[in-house]
Amino acid sequence: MSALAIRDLHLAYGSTVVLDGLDLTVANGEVVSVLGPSGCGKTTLLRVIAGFERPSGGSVTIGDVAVAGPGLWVPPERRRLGIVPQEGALFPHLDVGDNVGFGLARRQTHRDRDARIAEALELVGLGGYERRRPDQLSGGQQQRVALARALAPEPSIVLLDEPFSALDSGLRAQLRDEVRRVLAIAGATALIVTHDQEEALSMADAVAVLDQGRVAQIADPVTLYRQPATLSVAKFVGDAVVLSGERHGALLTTALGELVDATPASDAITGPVTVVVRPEQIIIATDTARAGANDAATGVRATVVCSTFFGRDASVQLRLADGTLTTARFGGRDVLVAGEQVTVRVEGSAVAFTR
Amino acid sequence: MARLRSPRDRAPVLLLIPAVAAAIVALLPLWYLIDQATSQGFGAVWDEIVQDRTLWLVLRSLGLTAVVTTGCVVIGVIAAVLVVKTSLPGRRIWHVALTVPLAIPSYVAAYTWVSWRPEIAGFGGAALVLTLGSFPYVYLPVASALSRLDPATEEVATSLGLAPWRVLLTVSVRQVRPAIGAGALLVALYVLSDFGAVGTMRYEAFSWVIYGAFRSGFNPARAAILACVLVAVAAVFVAAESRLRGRPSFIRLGAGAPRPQQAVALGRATPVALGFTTAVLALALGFPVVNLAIWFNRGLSADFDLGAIGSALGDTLLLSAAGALLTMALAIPVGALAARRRGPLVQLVERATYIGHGLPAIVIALSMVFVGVHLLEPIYQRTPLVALAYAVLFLPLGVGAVRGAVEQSPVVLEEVGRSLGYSPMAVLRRITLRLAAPGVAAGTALVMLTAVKELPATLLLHPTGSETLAMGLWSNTNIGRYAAAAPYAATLVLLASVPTLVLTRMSRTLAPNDAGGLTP
Repeated sequence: MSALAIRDLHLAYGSTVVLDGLDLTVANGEVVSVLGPSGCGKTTLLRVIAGFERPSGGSVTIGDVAVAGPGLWVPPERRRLGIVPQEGALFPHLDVGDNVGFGLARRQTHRDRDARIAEALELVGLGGYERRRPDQLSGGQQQRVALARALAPEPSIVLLDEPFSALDSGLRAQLRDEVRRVLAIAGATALIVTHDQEEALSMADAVAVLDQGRVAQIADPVTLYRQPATLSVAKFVGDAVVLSGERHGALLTTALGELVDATPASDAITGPVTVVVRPEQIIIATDTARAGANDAATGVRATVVCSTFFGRDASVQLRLADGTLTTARFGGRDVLVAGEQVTVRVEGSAVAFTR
Repeated sequence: MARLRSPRDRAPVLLLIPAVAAAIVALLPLWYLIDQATSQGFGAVWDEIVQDRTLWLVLRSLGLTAVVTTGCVVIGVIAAVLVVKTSLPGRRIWHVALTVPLAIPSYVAAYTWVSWRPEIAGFGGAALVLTLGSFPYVYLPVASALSRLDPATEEVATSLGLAPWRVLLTVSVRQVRPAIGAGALLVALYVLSDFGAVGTMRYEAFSWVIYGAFRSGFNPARAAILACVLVAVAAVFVAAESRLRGRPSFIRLGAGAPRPQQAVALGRATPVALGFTTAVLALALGFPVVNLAIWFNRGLSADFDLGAIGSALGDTLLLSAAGALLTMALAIPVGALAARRRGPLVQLVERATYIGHGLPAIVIALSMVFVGVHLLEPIYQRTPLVALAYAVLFLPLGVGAVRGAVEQSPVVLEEVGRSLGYSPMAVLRRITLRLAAPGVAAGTALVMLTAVKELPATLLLHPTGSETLAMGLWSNTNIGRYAAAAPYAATLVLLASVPTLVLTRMSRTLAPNDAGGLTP
């Protein structure tokens, strides 16, 4: 039994289609992030799951309970899920303890309730904060209280809506690890909506990329990055160097030389393809370095168009022999100057999409 | 990410039912008014309308409206320009002082003038009192529009070689014309609805004639037909006003806050400018207060009945408190719905409760008499019916306060509450209303203190044997006992100045169109 199963979900506002036949399954205990550009429908998806929006078609099942489907709609308060909104949204008229205890059943005794509140606060590293007011907390602390509030009633699934977008970048990375740890300890099933690729890749067991109202690909982070299913997924997840080429079985002929297809087609098809490699796969060797290393002449020649220095490395724009422009990272101690001739080769395999 | 809304869950029935009930309460009087007006057939209605005396009545009312509106535009625009755009000394103090005349009920101001020179009664007195009392309706929107103008346009004009005064007239004042129009329409609507000033000055405008038709042997059909004609005239102004209000009153492109206004140096004209603002305030505020103090002092040596005033204060507070509680009980479901839900039914309900905003108080008062006679006989001339009339009159104020307060509490808190297992009604009670409580309490106080100075509905519907402060002032003024009237007027002025303070503190949470109110 999966924790969440969504089948053929549709939702439109007037003539604007937001969700268009979306399918998604989340296994028990799994943390899945939903990644997509703004306007792709990811927040709407979260709101449909939570019950704040009614889908116009398709079904949503939480655990073994159908909550939305033809002629069926279970209101949010009976779905047993936890939500962590963008900026925490703590109740300003309640202290931290009452915020965390808000969703605990009223029939519980005071002692049970207080114990559960303490436990949830302990889990997020804020033990003893019960009597603080929300406005006395920092942004990161508020977000952790919001997580404790969502986890306290032991929901079947936790929905996090861009939970770190309001925080500055240092705090963000720290809280990301923290939340990941808390979700793991709690054994919670979670769905995290984000537009931040790094956040999606680093936090989740699986990433679902949303494009035009449906899931373009769902895979573990490594597979998603190395073997994107579509060109748009490839472009959206990480930086991509896009080249045109020819396929000959598992070999790809491009301006960067002969490359190996990471996901070769079962039969030896030939024909024109679009090839994607990651900038960090492109290795640049200067002529002096090659002379020093007595390197064999592998790779293709390229001309440096310009180089932008970032500190630990530089982003280099190169013109290949056939005139194609491409970007690569260059981490050497040398500084490349415009017009310089270099040799480039590709490390690892590439991904090809039939044109 | 922009969040489009529409197919959400529906409004809770437990909220919708009382909201619809509030709308019905608001519309009920109008139904009975029309029913009464047409009770002798449409022929009788037509005969009444085409009479010469009806035509003259319309012309007298419109004449007063035109004169007062013109006067208010002149005073309001000049004062706004002086305060916002020039080097007038003490501009902040003037800005506050120029809004204070709104706090004086028109019948109190009229009393202070007519008690000074009884021969002022009639057109001149009514026009004077109404102009001095309602120019802030023009001053406020114009001053606010002027202060939000982008100084860049004025700088461009100056750089093109225009003198500062020319810039003021050709660039600044022209840009705030929509604000002037909106203010003028508010004044026109106020004059048409006013009962206190025309009644005290005995000028035969609509409100006074309708009251007379009700008093003299009570010709209900004629009173109702005239009330309908007044509603029709007022409706034209209401429609025009709401159309104007929909448009932005100023245009500024680009982001960021505009730079502060540059003041035109008055130089040698400073005494003239100061003389103008001083004269306006002396007439609108100084004269009524001083004359009231003089009569109050005379009353102390004459027949000063402390017991009567104490009991009038008690009756006033009792009626207005009952009215405020009923108003808010009806306003909470409507305001909470209007802040959170869209849809034709919710919109219809909210519009219906705004009827008290556009209808003259005398019309609602008269309609409530018909409701009392035909439908609610057991409470006719008893406290509950007065409270009901106040509720119809002041629902816009209450709904505005509730709506503003609820809108301040973020929707996402309610969504979190729902996901934690609470029904929409539980969320409303445990989160939304808890957060909105300060605003709702302030709204209740505002409604109560506005009800304290209500005159026409109180006159027509007051419980047998009770007398409010407004009624005490009214009856004593009408028989020329000005000294005896003074303590009532003084108590009223003190009570009436409180809502102005509350309003300035609440102005951030209230919708702008609710400020001031339209009930004399």
